[in-house]
Amino acid sequence: MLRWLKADLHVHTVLSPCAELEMGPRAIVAAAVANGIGLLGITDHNAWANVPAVTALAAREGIAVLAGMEVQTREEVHVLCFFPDLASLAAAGEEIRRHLPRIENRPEVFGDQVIVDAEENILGFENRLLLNSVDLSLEDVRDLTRRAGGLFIPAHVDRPAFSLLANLGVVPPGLEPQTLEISSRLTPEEAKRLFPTLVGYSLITSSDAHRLSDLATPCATWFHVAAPTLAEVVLALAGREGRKVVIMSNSDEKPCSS
Amino acid sequence: MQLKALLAVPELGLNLKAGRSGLEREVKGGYTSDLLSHVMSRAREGDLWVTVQAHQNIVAVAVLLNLAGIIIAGGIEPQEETLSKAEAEGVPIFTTDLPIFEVVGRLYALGIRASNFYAALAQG
Repeated sequence: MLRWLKADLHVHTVLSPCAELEMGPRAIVAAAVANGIGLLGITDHNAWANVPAVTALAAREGIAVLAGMEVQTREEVHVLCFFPDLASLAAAGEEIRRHLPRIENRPEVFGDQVIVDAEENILGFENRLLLNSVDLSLEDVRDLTRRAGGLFIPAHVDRPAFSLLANLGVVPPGLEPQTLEISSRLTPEEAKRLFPTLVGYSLITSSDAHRLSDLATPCATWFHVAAPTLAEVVLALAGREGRKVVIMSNSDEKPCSS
Repeated sequence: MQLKALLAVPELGLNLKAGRSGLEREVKGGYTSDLLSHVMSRAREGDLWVTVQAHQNIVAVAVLLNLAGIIIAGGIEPQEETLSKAEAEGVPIFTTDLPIFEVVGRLYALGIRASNFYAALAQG
């Protein structure tokens, strides 16, 4: 039986230095409940250590979490990478870490990189600066993700920095992303008008939340799926077996158009 | 100045990696950026483009704008796909171990200028 599920697949936690310290697991889950979100993507920069804590807390509220990271490729392009389970996320996370420059974080400049458990006890701090490019190309990161059965999504492609279209101009031939994420500032129609290279692609929108108030977006991505899993999301993006994805306005729950 | 003349300037330390068929092209100016969206909207036909961006999309941008060629600076080695596309399109790609600042400074000393900037000046 298929049902509609409101998703936000791009949320940062206190592990991301640029996220506010209010982005702890409890507060994120509470904000997801308040915004009616049933499927949450936890995507810290080049890291995943807070995914288990958010997953455990979200489960108590009936919210599913996709296990992910926001990787910064060699081209300084941000991409969301989701994995079928925590074990495959951890394995990919280790590979990403091996390709991350050994530069120490300076919390007074970039912010703290805090690792927490489901009770919000501080387990430690990530000492390596996460706001950096890994020494892997866009295609390398895609292949690494797909080899692990994961989903690869170029992030906020309309943004002027750290985005596929700002840095590389157009969707590279052969990249064949299953979807691309646009920022919540644009409707899909506006995005395709501004960036004709997006025409013909499936698009999703997410909050890219770095603070709690960011989770309240003008539009949201809804998946019509049998279960809140990565496999179902992949089917929906392909429009297969009755699954589908739409971007809807949060104010009137009509299709989000300009 | 033709591209092939630059290849003969030892101070630039250029290695031709692909696109030999385009070496007769005239260099009309220069442009530097690593953001392809900037290059697409600002570089001019005939510009020599200096960058550290080595992704295959640089070839598409060079073809789109009819740039003279691309120098990848800083000792960065382009990916195989980038070179094979450049070879197929006849877009000369050079590498150099020099940092970008030095490459651009030495090209300027050879008389190469930012054509988009001077075109705007000429129009007042």
